[in-house]
Amino acid sequence: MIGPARTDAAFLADRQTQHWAEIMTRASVVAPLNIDDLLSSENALAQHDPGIVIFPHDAFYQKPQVENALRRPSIAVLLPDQNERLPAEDVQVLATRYAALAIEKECDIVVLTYQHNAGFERFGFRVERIAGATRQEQEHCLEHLRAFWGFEVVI
Amino acid sequence: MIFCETGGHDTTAFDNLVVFVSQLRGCGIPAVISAKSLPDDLRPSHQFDAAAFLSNVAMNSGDTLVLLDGHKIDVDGAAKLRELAKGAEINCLIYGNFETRQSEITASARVAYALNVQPKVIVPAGCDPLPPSNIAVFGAPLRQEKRVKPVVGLFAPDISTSDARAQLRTLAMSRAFDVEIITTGSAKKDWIEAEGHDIPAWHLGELLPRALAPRFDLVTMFGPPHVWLRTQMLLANLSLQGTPIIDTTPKQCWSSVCPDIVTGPSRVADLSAWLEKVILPKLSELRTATRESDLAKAFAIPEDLRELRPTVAKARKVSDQSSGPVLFMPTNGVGLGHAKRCSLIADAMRDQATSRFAAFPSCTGMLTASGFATMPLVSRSEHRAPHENDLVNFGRLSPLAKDSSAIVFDGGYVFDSVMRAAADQALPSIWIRRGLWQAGQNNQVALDRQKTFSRIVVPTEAFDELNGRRETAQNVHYVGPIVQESRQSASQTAKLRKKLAAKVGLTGKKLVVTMLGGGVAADRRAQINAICAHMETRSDVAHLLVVWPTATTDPGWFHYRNTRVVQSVHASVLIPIADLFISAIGYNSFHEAIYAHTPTIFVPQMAGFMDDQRARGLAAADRELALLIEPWEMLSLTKSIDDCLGDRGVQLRENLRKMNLPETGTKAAAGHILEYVA
Repeated sequence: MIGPARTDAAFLADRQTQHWAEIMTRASVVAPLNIDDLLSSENALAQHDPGIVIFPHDAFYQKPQVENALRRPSIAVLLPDQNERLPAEDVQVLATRYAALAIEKECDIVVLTYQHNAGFERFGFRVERIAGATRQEQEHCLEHLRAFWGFEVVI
Repeated sequence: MIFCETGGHDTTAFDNLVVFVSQLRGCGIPAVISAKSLPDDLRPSHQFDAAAFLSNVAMNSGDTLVLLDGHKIDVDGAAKLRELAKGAEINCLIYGNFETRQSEITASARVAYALNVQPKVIVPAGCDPLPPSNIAVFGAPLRQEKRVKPVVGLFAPDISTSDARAQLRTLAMSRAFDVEIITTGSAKKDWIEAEGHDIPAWHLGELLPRALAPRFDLVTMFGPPHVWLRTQMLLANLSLQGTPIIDTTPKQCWSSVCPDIVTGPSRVADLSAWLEKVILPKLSELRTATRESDLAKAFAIPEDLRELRPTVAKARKVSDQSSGPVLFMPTNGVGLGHAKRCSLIADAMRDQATSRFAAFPSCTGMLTASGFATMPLVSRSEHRAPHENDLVNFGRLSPLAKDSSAIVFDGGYVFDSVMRAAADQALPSIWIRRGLWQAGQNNQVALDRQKTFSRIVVPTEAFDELNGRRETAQNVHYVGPIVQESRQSASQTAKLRKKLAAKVGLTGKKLVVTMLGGGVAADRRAQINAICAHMETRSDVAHLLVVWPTATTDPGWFHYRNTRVVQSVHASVLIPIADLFISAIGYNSFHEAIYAHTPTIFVPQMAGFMDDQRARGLAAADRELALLIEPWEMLSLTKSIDDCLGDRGVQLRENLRKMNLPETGTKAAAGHILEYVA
């Protein structure tokens, strides 16, 4: 943590802030080309019907963890991507904004997604997967993530 | 609902509470502990113990509270109960050790004030040979796994001298039974420091008594009866599951007061022959006798608690657990090797068993694309204590394990979540344990926790010098390399390359595929830039830079004219069709390249927590099957690329074709797992 009196030296020396600065430097409008459609038919392991993403209906209750010295304030970004991934252009813009937020407000950003690959991973964001067949299971899964991360804000 | 609380404030009081609730659950009583009662400063092991029983549901009128250590309830404790009850009328049973009638009245009054109902005070009946306990001691045994050899649990043996330890080592050499030590945390540490891991050692806090008991077919008691609730509940579970208890104390302090406990020799040196000649031949009869003994009957759940069972029995599915799906849990390690290996094994089992996965988010796409239902786990974070994510994962994994037939773990570090998920359900557990640890690597946790697995399957490396000394333990099985082999013909390859060229818009005739790893263990941006820049000098090359869908990328990579950055969960398909493969040396990519006969330049990723990638690369390079280039040899790297795209590549491919590689072990590994599946 840099603390209230920020200076150039403190900014450059703070590992967490530089982590987010590094993420900012990865910002790009170009993304890797996904060639799954081309290769899947050649992969003996690939199945026509994909497996589902599951979450046990009776997953244990998670008590929110108490504050400790390791913790930094964290903000969750809950992506509305239940049905399809966000377009790469949108992700690029959002990624730079969230990295800027993390740097300026000295917090961590955690992206919550319903997709296997939300698009934020290539920049270096921490991305958590929301699972569950029902709304109730998905909410339970989110509770686990809230308990683990202790989000101050969910966007 | 049935809530359980303790009047005590210390760690022992909370430990007793958790042990008690786990036993209640085992008896079909859906007891919970209010999450508000969980102390904030609990050690991780206690957090894991309590995890299955925590609830944030509020108390309601008509609910029941079982209060342990009722004699310790003070004004603050009563206020805490009142806060939990929030005015609801809660039935209450109090267990306690009330020295005077007045102390009982005081405790009752405090609880009545908190819960608006007069509590029922219970002083538990004692059970010889155990010292009196102020908490009811009762058994709730799990099923026991069938074993080739019985396991004898040595309870609190003397390990203080080298002579004593030597006698235990001699005892462990028996061919008729296996031995495991059960002792205190500090004694276990001393034992491992002196004797290593050849004889497994448990400390009583490692698993809940209900999960620990099924591991033993016989138990010998070296110390006197103990007042600690964990010990007492363990004894109750052992008795009810029919594990004969043998008294080897010099003063016969168990068997002299309880005829159902067998008197054995007090000298360890005499124990082996006595067990083999006297006990083992009639083990089956002894088990029945133990189950039906007065001791076992004394450990039946007391009436007051039995009445807490739901009157309308929930339609509890009584299914044959062995017919459930196999649950795979690969760790994510540095790359995706563990998950890929598991998916290959699960694929080989597809006709005979259903498989599902619990995996980290980087692997879920690949696993679902392979048709497997997958539950995402939560990775570690440097901003959270090391056990916190595993606690979350335990809360997901354990319920999933409940109706599984077996749990298969693939990884280097055996997490608490995996160990406990299997043990809490008495589930057969298999560890796919890849070898090639680095010299001097700290693998103490792995060595200690291999005792928890029913079976260990070791996928061997293709080259002999990479395979360590073979262990002789009966539950360790070696199989050939687990690798995905290419099934493409030359014409299929040509067709795919044509489609690929069209898709990525590259015209170079020579296909170079680069996969330098996920960047977790080492930053490979410099090497990748060196490769991409060099490819710009070669108009005959189409260069695919393959990144995993969840890997980080560098914007600079996208601007090279004959490089395309691509991602796919099916990336292995590219290896056999490449003219040159530039790769890290993880188990999977190494064997896929070797078995596909693809000329490869290997660049090792090395970190303290990884396998020995350099040794793998050397084994191939020494045989002239591939090139090994160190990460700092960037000039050599570009020169080697040119060499391999010329005559050197032809030679490497020829050498690979001539190489007699071991039979792959995927089917054999699947067979070892299927033995546990109905």
